[in-house]
Amino acid sequence: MTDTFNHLFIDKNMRKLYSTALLLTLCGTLSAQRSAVVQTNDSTFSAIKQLQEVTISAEKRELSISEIPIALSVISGKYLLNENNPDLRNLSGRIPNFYMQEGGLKLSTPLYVRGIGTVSGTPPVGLYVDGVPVFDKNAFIFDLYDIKQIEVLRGPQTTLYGRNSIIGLINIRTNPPAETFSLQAKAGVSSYNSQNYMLTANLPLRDYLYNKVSFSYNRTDGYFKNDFTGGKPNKSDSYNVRYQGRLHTNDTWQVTLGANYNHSFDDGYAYHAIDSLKVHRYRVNYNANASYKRDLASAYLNARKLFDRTALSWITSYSWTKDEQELDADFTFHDVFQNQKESKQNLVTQEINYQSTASEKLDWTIGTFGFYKDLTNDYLATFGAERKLLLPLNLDKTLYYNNTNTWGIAGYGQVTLKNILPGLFITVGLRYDYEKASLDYRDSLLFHGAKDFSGYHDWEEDNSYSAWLPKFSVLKKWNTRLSAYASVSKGYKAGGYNIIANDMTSQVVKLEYDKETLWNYEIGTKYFSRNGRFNVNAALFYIDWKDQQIFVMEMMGPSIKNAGDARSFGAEMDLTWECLPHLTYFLAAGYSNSEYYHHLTKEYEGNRIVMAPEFTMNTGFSYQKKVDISLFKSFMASTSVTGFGKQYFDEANTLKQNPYFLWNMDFGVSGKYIDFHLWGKNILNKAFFCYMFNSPVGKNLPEYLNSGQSGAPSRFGASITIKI
Amino acid sequence: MKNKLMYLVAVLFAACVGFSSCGDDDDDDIPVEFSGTWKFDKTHFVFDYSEENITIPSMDPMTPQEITNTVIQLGNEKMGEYFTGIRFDSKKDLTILMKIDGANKELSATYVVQKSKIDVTLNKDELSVLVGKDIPMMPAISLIYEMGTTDLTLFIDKTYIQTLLSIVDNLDLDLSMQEQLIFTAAKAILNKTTTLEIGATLKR
Repeated sequence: MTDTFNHLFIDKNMRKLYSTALLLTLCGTLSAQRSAVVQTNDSTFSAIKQLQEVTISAEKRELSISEIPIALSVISGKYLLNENNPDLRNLSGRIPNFYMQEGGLKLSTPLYVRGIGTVSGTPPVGLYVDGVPVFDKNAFIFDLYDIKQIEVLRGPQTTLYGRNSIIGLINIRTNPPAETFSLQAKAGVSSYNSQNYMLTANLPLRDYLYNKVSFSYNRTDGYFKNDFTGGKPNKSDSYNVRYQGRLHTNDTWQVTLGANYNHSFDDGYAYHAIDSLKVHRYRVNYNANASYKRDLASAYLNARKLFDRTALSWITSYSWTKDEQELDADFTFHDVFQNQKESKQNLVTQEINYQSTASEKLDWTIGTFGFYKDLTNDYLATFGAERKLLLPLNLDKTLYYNNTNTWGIAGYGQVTLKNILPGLFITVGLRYDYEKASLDYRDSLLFHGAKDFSGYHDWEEDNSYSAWLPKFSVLKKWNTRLSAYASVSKGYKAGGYNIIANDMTSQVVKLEYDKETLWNYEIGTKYFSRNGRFNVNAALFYIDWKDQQIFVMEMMGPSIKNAGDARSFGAEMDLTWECLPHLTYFLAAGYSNSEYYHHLTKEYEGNRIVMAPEFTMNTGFSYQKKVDISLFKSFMASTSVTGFGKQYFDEANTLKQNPYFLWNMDFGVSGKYIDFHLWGKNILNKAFFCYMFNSPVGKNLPEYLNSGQSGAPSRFGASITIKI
Repeated sequence: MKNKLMYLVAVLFAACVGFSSCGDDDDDDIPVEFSGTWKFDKTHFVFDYSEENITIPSMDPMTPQEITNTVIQLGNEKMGEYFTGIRFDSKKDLTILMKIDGANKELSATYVVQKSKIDVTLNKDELSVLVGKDIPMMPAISLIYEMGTTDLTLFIDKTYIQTLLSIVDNLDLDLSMQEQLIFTAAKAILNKTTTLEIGATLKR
């Protein structure tokens, strides 16, 4: 059955047939509806109105879009389509100037906003789920299900959110537990023998504790095959268990609590020589095991007490992470270099926020945030018979131990003076962020022919990082439909320590990298038409970025360094237009011109920043309507093109991906008890590279000098959801 | 009212932008202080072996003590002829004092100290002039130091020597049979060595 299924979805002719069927279904449905129009409230007309009325909580208070002097996008959980089990990577290109590399392992996914970001290391964008921070990139990729809405704010959010929100914030709100019993079960299948299952149950207890329990499971064969192992594919699977509770005492208290456990396993990396991937996009060839296993557990308590004119919030969270990575680090069939890494982390965060709630003239917020993080990495590098292709030393193994304890504390405040003049709002905010990192590091070498390891580096040190983080904005609101703003804000990402020392010719340990900062200057406007059929949000920005932290693949492993300074300028637009009844045209486009103007390597000055695409684009049509057909009460059909501009993958700007566009489609029918969804992604199977790098073995194996990973092929899927 | 408002906006904006010119405090972290000139006093050589005798090709077996005495004697004679001392000029710079063909010579270098380790990077251009040959790159030399009341001992240890040897081992140099024998013997001896320290003791 598996073979038949794969054949059904992978075969080129069947792919054409399937997309044609999808298109005909779309057209046929539209045609049928023209002759059976049912005027309802649930139309695209309402979708724009709903966007105008939606409240954003990312500013730590409920505000409407037009009241926030920040470029932002909101995605409703209903519209997180495109795949059966979407994650944050599905937002790539759908949000202006937001790029997140698809594919790759969950360990670290490159993320860029407005040309600013990182390939690896600390994330450049803050991520909050129901008010709880997610600190590390290895926890960024998880299934997005039962989502109410996702708010993506572009530009630094460090005044309210501190470290790691240097260029943006993703604020995810899940659906809270309901007050009545309900059950939802979903099953989906898609290309490459992918299956996903989800079960969600709302279980109210009396009338004071509302509970929600959910479980999801995904598995896939993957589309990469390893020639060395006889064509074994890189499978992956994951499951997630989540509990959310809401205590109802009286109207002045809001208490939510939750716990989550996630386990995932990804088999294999998909890197290979570029020239080989151009011929066989999904065939790799490496001789050692490669996998990534991750376990995440977290719990939180979020309490809010409402007073007459103020509110006090208390958010405590704890998370534990354990992951294990095995890697054929040369990504070739030669016996050069493998590594194994195991890391464990404990993280505690605490935030207290006190703010005004009912004021016509002044909104104020003050707060404090603290965290403690304990991260231990154990890393073993093993060098094979052909180690000379990479290593100048005759070593069999290197063993590393790195423990970094980091604690931080911050205080922040923000004031908005409202209607100083009619419709004029001024916001001033300031945060002081301080953190201290303590490193305990040692490594040892096993020389070729020796029986025991010899200790080499042994070092402990402390370092602290601090910053004042101001922001200032002016917003003019002519009415509820039109506003314009100008803002200046500072972004900051703390420094830290690399996991391993790469220089084995020196006995001095140099693991530290310094903080990076940037200034963001921005103007923008937000407009909703009077008839509710048109909405546009647009912004222009300029960013000056100092001491940029860059990711470098060195001889013994990855390393982060402060490379220099860069600047980025550009424009963004979100546009939605109901051009015909129930038919909406949408466009989310961003342009960024980002380049280094100071670099450690002089010849890179003037070059484009690594990985950031020159533009992002998502455009298409969506049709939504209430119907009355058997079990189904509404349907949705959508076709879109997602595009990315030119990207460079190295500072020398020699590895380039030209602009590419991907065609996607969605079709869904929904009823009181059942939903059915069909989708196709990259329907025309466009070939592109989502990552390239200069391999360290490239000096001796020139065919591998330019290596990379192919972007995902066309995929098709279907899912059914039963609701009780 | 409007003028006051504009003034307020201008002040707030200036205050905000003014933060951009604020520098952040950098830690001025200097773990150890070296100062003045240190003159070469004697060779530092510590050698412990896991067996009673050491077999060296084309030579009679020697005991570890005999090797120690020989190396110290040779080192005191030869090292003292060419290396006269070190002068620490600042927290980052030092000068190596030498004597070549009877004339005093100086070679600049930078250094970084971390716990008991000191990385010394010689000035590539000055070294090129000294040896009469262009040197394309100059890696740091990692030394261990022990500071006494009036003396300073600098040396490289067994692990560091093994690292350097393993680099040489990987270079696939075109060695003669005799050279290959000596190199192989050196690796074998090093594998059985329990302690090895080679360097110099200097006095202020």
